[in-house]
Amino acid sequence: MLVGLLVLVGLLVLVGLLVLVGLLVLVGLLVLVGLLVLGGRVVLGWLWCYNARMRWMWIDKVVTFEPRKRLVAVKCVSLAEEHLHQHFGPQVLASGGVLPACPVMPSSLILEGMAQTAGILVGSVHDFREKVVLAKVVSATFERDVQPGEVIRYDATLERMDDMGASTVGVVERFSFVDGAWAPVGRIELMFSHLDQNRAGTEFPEENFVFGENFRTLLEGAGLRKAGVGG
Amino acid sequence: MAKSRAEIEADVKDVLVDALGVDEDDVVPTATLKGDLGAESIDYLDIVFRLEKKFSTPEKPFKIAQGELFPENLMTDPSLVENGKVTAKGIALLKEKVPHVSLGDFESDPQVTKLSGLFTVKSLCDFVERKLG
Repeated sequence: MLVGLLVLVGLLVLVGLLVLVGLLVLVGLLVLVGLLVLGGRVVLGWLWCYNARMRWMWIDKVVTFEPRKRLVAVKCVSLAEEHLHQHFGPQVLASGGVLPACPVMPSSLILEGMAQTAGILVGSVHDFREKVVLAKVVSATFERDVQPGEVIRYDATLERMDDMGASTVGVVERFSFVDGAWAPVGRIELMFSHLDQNRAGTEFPEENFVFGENFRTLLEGAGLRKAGVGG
Repeated sequence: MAKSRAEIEADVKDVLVDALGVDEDDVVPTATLKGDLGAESIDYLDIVFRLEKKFSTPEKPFKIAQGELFPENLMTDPSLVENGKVTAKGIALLKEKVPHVSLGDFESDPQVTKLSGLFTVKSLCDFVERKLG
């Protein structure tokens, strides 16, 4: 009788221990899966951010290219762009009324679009071997906002260039489907430096990080670079 | 018709006001480009481009070769600079390459960091006047 009781208690303890261990393993697995999922999301987030950085493109297409002289690019402004939901300006309606706060393209990003347009023009002179960086905004004047649904045209002209850098003059216009016409947005004068020819003699990595992967499709689409050619 | 010294000074002043965004009154002959007018690295290239544009005529382009106005990268040559000081060879080269710059006391204490202080509004005017002949 006593032996039977001892066996029963022993079995119960054993089952209890097994259940406990099982629960611990289960909780451990759940924690592990949770960490993996969470970690995965974090890693994916990093990758997304990295990709987002690499897609810092503020022109959609090169439409005119005159070597060593002029380059024209366009950008379609979309309400899907995140930045438009954090930047507002007044909009004058056809009726004469004014909407006080409508999404408008920030002038700083219009300037970036011109810098990319003019930068490609300058880079094309030496077949994108030079690291061309924006060194100075000589002047930038804006007279009109650009809103979602409109198209921006960047018209950049190479004014002067030597081994150390270049100066460009650019005209920005926008097309409104409401007006059915192009209208002036601003004028931007820029200076670019060839990074490897800097006055201080500072050395930079050999790889051309300016005209990297992110620009390749754009340049290929404009016929400025053969598909599949590296650099 | 050749430009007078006063015309050259007025044109150089215009160039510096546009390139550096400084007040006209600050552009005096003794003002140094870096110390007094706040010129940075890329501004020197901007000044060169603007001088070329300002003084070019259809008959006679005003072209400034690299290193002709400012001795770019000259002082990174180890034979010209030792222990932060311009060597005798470097001084001789400066006199030859940039005669529009008055070395003054620089020869007695030729610290390379003081070199940029030698470029004044007057030295730019002297350069243009000499080059226009």
